Amino acid sequence: MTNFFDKLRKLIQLDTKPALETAVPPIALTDTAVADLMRQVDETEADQYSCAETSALLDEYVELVQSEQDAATLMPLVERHLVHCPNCREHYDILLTILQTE
Amino acid sequence: MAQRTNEQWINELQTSGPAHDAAVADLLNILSSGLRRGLLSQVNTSAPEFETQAEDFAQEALLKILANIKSFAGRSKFTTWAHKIAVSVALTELRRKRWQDHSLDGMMDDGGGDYTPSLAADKAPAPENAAERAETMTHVARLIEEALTEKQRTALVASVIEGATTNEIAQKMAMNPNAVYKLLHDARLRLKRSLAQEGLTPADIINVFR
Repeated sequence: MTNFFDKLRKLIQLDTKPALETAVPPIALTDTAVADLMRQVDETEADQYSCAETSALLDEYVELVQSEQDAATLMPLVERHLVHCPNCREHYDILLTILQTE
Repeated sequence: MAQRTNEQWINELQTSGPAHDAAVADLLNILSSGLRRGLLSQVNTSAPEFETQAEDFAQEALLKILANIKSFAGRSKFTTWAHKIAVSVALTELRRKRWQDHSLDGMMDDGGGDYTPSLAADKAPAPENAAERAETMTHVARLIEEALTEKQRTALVASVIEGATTNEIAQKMAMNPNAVYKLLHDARLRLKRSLAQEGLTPADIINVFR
């Protein structure tokens, strides 16, 4: 942790912009917001699927889930997109409900 | 109702005559029934309206399915693919109605681009950690200011600080929700790369706020 703050302070010292002189962040974040954001940033990968790519495979994915196969391992990029995208997650949840109540 | 293989669905929906009519009627029935079950927790309306709505969505989905039937790749059951399209049609319409019904005026209207946090203040950190948290927060805020494009920053701040949903951001920014998802993804990726260039990781930041 000491190492982290050493790095951070060095970065701040290197930055000569006037805004650095104030302790007030230019964007008013909260502890929770920063922690949540960093968790999301940590999980973000360059090769994530778009909504369209996920949607194209959603029927296949939901059938894997319904048949209790390891969908997350078989289609990891769809799985990852659904974790981050509430709209596609909603689509998936409804589709799964439909199949499960047939 | 007749059980059909994928091939039978495709053939019967693409021909004309009694077999086609029966397949259309059966599919419409399957889609309506599926939407009623699937959307039950999503639609806040009285039962008769809900029935009509499910029928309307199913009709619209059927037209879309018939128009795009050649794009069915056969990787799932035909009916699962058809349900997927029906749910997409229903959600698109329901989300459009939600936007109409709920004014978003208060979401980001704070004078044009500067954002005021609407979340309650976090619990005060322990004094020995407060300075480190403030220092780290200042750095993260600066990264957001400097590493992102204006559009990325607007979407990210609305999402992280305002707690706005992708749909709300899309409405406010006059964008497609899918495009907002991509915008937020790209913004997070830029932040990750910027941190990496500085020899930092998101985990380093998270640790400060534990």
